[in-house]
Amino acid sequence: MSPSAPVLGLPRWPVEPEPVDPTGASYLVLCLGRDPRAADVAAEWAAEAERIAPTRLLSVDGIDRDRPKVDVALHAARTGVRVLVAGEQYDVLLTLALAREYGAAPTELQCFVVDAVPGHTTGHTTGLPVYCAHCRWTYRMVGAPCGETTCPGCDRHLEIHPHHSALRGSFLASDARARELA
Amino acid sequence: MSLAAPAVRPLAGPTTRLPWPFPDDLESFRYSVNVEPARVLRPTAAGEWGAHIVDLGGEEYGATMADRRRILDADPHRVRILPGMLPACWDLLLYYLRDLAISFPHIMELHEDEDRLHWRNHALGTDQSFVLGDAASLPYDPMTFLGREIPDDLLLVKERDGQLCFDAGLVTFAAAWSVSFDVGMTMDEIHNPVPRLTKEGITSRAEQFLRRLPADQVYRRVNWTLSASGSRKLDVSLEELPAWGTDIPALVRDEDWGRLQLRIEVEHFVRLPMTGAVTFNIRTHMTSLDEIRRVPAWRDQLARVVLELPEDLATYKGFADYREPAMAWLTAEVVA
Amino acid sequence: MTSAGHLHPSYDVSPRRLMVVEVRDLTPEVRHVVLVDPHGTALTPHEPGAHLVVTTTPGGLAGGTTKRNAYSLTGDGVVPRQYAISVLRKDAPTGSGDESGGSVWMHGLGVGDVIEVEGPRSSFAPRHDQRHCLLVAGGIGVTPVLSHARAAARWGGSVEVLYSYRPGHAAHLDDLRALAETPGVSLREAVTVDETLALLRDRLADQPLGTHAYACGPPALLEAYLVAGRAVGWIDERLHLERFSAPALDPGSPFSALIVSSGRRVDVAPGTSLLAALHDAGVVVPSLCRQGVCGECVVPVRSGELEHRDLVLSDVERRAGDRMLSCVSRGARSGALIEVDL
Repeated sequence: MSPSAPVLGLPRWPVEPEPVDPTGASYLVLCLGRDPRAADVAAEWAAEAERIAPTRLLSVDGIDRDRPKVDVALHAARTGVRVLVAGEQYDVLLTLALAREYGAAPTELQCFVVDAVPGHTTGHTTGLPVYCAHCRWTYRMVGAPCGETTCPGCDRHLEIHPHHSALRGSFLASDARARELA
Repeated sequence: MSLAAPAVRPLAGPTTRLPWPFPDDLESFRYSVNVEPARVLRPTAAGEWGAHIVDLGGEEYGATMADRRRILDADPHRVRILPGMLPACWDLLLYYLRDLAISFPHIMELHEDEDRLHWRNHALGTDQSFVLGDAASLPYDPMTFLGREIPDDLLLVKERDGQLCFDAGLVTFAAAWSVSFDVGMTMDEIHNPVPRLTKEGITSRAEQFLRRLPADQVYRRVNWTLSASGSRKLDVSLEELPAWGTDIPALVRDEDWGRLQLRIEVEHFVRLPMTGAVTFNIRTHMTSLDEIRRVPAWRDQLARVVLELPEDLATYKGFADYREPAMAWLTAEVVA
Repeated sequence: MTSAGHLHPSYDVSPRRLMVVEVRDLTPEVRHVVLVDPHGTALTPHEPGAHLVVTTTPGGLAGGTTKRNAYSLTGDGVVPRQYAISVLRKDAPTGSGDESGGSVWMHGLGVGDVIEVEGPRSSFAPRHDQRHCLLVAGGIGVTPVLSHARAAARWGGSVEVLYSYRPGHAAHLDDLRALAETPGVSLREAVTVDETLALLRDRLADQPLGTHAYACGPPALLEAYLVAGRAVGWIDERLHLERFSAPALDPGSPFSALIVSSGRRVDVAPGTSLLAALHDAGVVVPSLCRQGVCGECVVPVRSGELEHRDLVLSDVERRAGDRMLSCVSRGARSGALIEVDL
């Protein structure tokens, strides 16, 4: 497959941050992690959003550590809000999934990731939320869709399927060596 | 039917009830939306199938249900019901219990007194009174309760944001997929890895069919593959891959083709009236090449279809590497 | 009799006879009619907001014309033993031929009468994944709203009801007030236009993320609801509504339809619907409201550009271009040819 061919069912990342959707009645800008590019994008979004409607900018270290803070912000949000998320893929995918859990629709969400290579949907290695089918659990693993990695839970060598769940935020993975005879 | 070869035993049991997946005149297979009305008895070269929406499985019913219950007890991740889908699960339970009591009156009974129901399944020894919608009145959630009574994997789809979503499921006999992961995905997301499925617009047409499924008709569809396991083992879920992953490589190494299994899935589509949820329930059947070889019409047709399949579909179905020797064995002269 | 697809009789949606067991005036103009199966069978369950199609005979059985009218069911739809509908009486000039005659006929029903019904049918169902539900009722639009509220209460959902009515003419106000005693259910009332507008603006601005709203009432109320919702950032996917009737349409341009199965070509003149042209050609498409509201007369389209004039299909469905409501929608241009898969 050519690197630029879009793959159905995989996240497609904007190359440049999209402008803020002007139809919101309020904005929640979430900046995950300490990457300076993410902080810049979040700050630009927040400035743009403030000119339209009441805006809250929340910067946290990461979704695993600061999930309660993001929970509180989403819980307080009212229908009519637009949620904008910037950070690394791992944090952004899990934060988008959390926002969906709170009822946000796809068109109410915008995001920007700092660790995607434009045009590459597979083959680019980075930290990703990966669901290990054998542990039945999601971990942060370094890899790429269609690539391989090691599960921190069961220590199995996993293949990461090009199969992504927006609801979970994670990629599916399973034992890459299970079909090999000893 | 020819009984010339002395090794051939008379056909009996599951083979005579097998939902053979190919029409008599089929020579080549492609994915299509091959749906037909349910509850239509269909004759095959070895018997007949399809009178009811549930096939209990005759003498195999007890063993299949013991397997199902063992898996459910051991692994709670085989059931996943998204928030808001419980009413649809009650809708599903009521529909199936009512249908079963009419289809199999000699072993199953349902008594209704407004919302109070009394279900008895004499084959499995179930005797349960409960109140529809009252979770505390059943020992399990309503989908699990039904899943412990019938062999079908239970899948419910509903529309969200204009797309059909698989939002509740109980699946113990998945063919190398994970119900726990896939629940909550759209039909497009789920079927993305299947070659030719989205590209040829099949998902979209299947989705249109399900979206327009009328309230007064029930439909079914038969799907097939060569199983990932060299035995009748139904649990070839992705979760359990380490337990079955080497089955086929070992079978191929040993050229033990007779144990290779044709896996047949019968899907039933019902629009449940109380919630508008649509069932995508899957009943899985297995039969070995050894058994298929005893029905000449099946033997010849399977070999033609498998060998004719384009490389990408054969790879997706998992048998591109060994289909030629396996089919050569299937169609070889039986030596008495 | 069991319908072809289902074994159990309590899934029948085909035309069948039900008996009136209760008739009660809720207001001077609204009559509540309760129906049961004459054999005592449990009735077909339905989604909240579903309607029943009733065959009415305005003008009486002798010499009257048969019509089909849709009425919202007011129950929660869970294993119903009875169907209850509430009918607003709409007196119309004699011989006007509009749908008002049906309501007068319904008001003439008495206990023990047997009537023909079809359905229930769902066209105003709740989103199963809603985190919270905002219901808006105006006048007789309260009937599907009551069904939604009852179902939400039964399944433990959280729901806020806004009811706009004229004092002394508020059907089911007592039912809604009683429901509001249930945990998770609240009710707010408005009795003037200004109060209603203020309440809509106020409440749409303060709903939890993930709320879906459902409104039924007169056209002005629905317009105000859409405007108020969009003004506070609601996307259209969250603003559900059911209309009593559609705005008037222009007669449209002439076009032709090719019937795929027979290869026959049917010309549709301005002011004539595809539905009527097909009917004249002997091709019967089931229909109900005939104003692009109910979705009954949808036909599959194989090719041809369409002008969609209905209020049923979503933007995604319109773009797909593979179906149209034959009662109001037309070929895109004068002289256009469309292929219908009939």
